Amino acid sequence: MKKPIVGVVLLGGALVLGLIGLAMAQTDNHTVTVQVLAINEAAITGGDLTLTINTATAGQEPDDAVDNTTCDLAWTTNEATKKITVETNLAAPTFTLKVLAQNVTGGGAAAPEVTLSTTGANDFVTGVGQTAGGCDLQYTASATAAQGTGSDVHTVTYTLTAG
Amino acid sequence: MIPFIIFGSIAAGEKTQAQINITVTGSWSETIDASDLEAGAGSDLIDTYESIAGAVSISISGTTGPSDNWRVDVKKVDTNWDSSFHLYVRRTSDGTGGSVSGGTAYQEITDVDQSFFDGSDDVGGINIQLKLSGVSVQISPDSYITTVYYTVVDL
Repeated sequence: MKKPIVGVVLLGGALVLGLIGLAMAQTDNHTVTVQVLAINEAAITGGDLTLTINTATAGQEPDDAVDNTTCDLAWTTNEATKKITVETNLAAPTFTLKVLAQNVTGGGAAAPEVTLSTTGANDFVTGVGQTAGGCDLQYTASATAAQGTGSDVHTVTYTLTAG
Repeated sequence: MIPFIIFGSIAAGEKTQAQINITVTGSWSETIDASDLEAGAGSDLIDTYESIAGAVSISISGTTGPSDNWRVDVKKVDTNWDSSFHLYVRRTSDGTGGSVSGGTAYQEITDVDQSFFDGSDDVGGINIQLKLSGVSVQISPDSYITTVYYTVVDL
């Protein structure tokens, strides 16, 4: 009595196999690779800048020369935790030259005004990780009457660096 | 036992007859660097990138002829993939042999199978183009990899 039951079960199995064959699917694949390289770009627009100190109020030191419209700084980085530093190449300037980041866009925070010297790079804009932004460069030149006349020529370098 | 053996042979024969195959060749690799900035320092990265029109080629074989209809589904399985990325695919040629239809407009590839295009008979050299969007400087430097799976379903 058991043999017929076994036969029905096996036949059912064979029919299922047949259905699998009719609905068969087959797969192949390929990869897509996106290699994102580190990007750290900074650029100054506006070119060279000349500040002239030539006015004063009688009885006081000469007036500062200020420019915040000629030069801008732009940057793009896709790395986290970055900052921008500033330094000059002029070892012993006669007069005082300061720079300040104004109207910072795209993230980041302006550091306090920096007096340019060769003591090393100073923070200029911090917190610029993974941003595209920019700022106005405000330069202020100042001199005392005792310093007399003359000129300083600075090469000012901005560096996007780990912060 | 004799009736079972006969039915078993018939079932096996049908399976062999419907042995449709899909073969995918090619791949796409895109390198993104500073040259891809929209306008140099101060600008973001270009958002969208496209492969060449025939970066990938698909061939369907093993059909029983012009009356054998099939459909190709597509999905992706991510290895290391940024959630901002969107990957699209489209068919850019009909290939040679049988007929194909659909799939000529970009469609986003997701993590689940979606119908891509369909056709009938054996067809070789169906060109595929891919597109990536969602790129920005907020994507960290890294190597991002996903695998695109094409499945042919014999209808």
